[in-house]
Amino acid sequence: MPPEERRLYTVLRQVYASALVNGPFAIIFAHNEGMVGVNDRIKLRPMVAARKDDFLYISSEEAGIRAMCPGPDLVWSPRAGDPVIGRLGHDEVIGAPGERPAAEVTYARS
Amino acid sequence: MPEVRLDTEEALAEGEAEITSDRRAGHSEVLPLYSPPEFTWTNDVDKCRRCKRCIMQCGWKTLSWQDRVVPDHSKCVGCHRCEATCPEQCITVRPNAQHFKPHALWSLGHRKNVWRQADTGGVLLTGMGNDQPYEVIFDHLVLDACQVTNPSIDPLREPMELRTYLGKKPESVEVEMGPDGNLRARTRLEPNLELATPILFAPMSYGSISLTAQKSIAMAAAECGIAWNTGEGGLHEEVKPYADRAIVQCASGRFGVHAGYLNAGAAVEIKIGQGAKPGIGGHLPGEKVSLDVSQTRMIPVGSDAISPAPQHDIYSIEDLRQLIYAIKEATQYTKPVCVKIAAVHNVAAIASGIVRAGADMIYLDGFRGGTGAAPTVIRDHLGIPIEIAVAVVDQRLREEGIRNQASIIAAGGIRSSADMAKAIALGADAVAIGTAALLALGCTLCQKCYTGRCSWGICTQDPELTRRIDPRVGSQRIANLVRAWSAELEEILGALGLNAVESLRGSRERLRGLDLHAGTLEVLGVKPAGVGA
Repeated sequence: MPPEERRLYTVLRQVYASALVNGPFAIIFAHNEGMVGVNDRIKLRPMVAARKDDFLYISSEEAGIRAMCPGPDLVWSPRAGDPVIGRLGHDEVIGAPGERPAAEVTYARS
Repeated sequence: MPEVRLDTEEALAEGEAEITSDRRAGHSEVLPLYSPPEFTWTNDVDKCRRCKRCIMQCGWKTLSWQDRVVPDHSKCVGCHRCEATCPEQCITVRPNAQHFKPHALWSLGHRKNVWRQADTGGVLLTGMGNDQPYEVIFDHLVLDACQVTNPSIDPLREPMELRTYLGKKPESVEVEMGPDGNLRARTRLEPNLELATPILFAPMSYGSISLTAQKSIAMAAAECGIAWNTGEGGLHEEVKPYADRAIVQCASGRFGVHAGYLNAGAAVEIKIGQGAKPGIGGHLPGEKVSLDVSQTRMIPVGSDAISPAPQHDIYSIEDLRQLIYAIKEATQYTKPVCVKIAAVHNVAAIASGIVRAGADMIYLDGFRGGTGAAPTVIRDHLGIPIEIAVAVVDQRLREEGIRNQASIIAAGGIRSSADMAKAIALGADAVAIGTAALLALGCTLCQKCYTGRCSWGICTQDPELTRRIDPRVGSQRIANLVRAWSAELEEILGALGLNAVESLRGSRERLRGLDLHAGTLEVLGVKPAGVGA
């Protein structure tokens, strides 16, 4: 990891130590620019994501996705702690296979 | 309140104190009253092969050779060194079973102390921590565990983080875009002390303990990635290689303090008080100030090393602030500054002042904390338990919104990883261990540290005794202890469903009290067992 990046993570870890969320969770939330799914960093809860055209699906089970979308283009299990981020108007799904992981994405407020 | 004890054997085993020889001492020519020995020494004469090792091993000259080993029971302190080193295992040291009429109020300890004071008119001295049967709050706190709704974690399979940073933290982190298009932290961090596991070694100076003992502790700190503390005795050449893991102490005598010393360590500690003797200074008699000690402490050979009771340039929080910033200036703001205080009644308000004075860490020393020497009456009756002090200080700093400005180190009676976990759950960032580290070196808690005759080579400067500790071996024993406690802490965190120790800090919801009074529970901020979330 480059030194500046390492420093950023160390600072975040030190300052927000008490904010660390432990225990099992899979959280999906949406805001007016897109949708985010994230689960706990040791994957105590399941989380599956899928794409079909310009749709992004996130669920705790693949069966749930297939009930809504019988033939998804791509189904994957995100790694523990790695968020899946879909943004309206962007084809890219951050955290999807072959796309950039969230750690490599720099956001600027649109 | 101490429980009343009728058990004579237990009363006999309790610490018996010596007398100081200070200016207030009375008529020394008074004929001493009979005071029964604390221990009796016996050996199996049939098994004894007359090697005389026990005679050589005893630092108190209890044993002599008169065609066989002959004990002077009155000198035996019950340290069991002779027993431990006897090749035939034929020695037994046991509490003197002599029976005095039991008395619920007048324990034998009280009676003996009165007899001794009538003999000499002196202040009674002792070593190590408060040994009186006050309620131990740690023993009335139980930790939570996960069942069904929140899975527990196996520390052998999942990562477990014990890394701890001690020092000031900013309220928030500001992030900016770097020239390379990557994010970076704009916020600059204050210097922090990084520990691989939330354990430090308590301050124990060269002088109070032997150099071999101090070097063992320093080497263990370096090996475990934690910190040791010089105490008020300067930094000896032998332990300088481990200075990068040292907290260098600046106490009321200012012994061995100079710019190089302040800059040599990983952090600087201002010692205001000590749990074993709140409000009391230190006194290393001139006879113990050898050439080596004198050079380390920067005082003349043979002169008494007196640490005054207060720091004479600190009579207020404003004065403390001046010293904190003088040290920060001297170290170019590269070292976190810690302030150590004894846990006393008004500890929360004092701690708040210390944080506002600019300290990066507060070291709270509970009334069970150890010492090389203290008046018995002070050790046994002043101060408050560390469990209470940590809880009220953490609560107060949170209420005032300044908890992020300083880390809390809890010390004074941390006996196990369970005590450590409970102290952290009550609000500590890390714990410091002194007595436990000395136990790892062989200490048996005979409490005779102040005599300087420790047969285990820990609390003595006699080269014949200090060479009994090989720092290479001693450091491994102490490092083993740190490793064992860290592994146990991981097990506890796993059971709690946590995978980082900072998630336990101040998490009183994970504690429950057993048989604690409502008032104590309220002060601790802990619910009684049986009450759910």
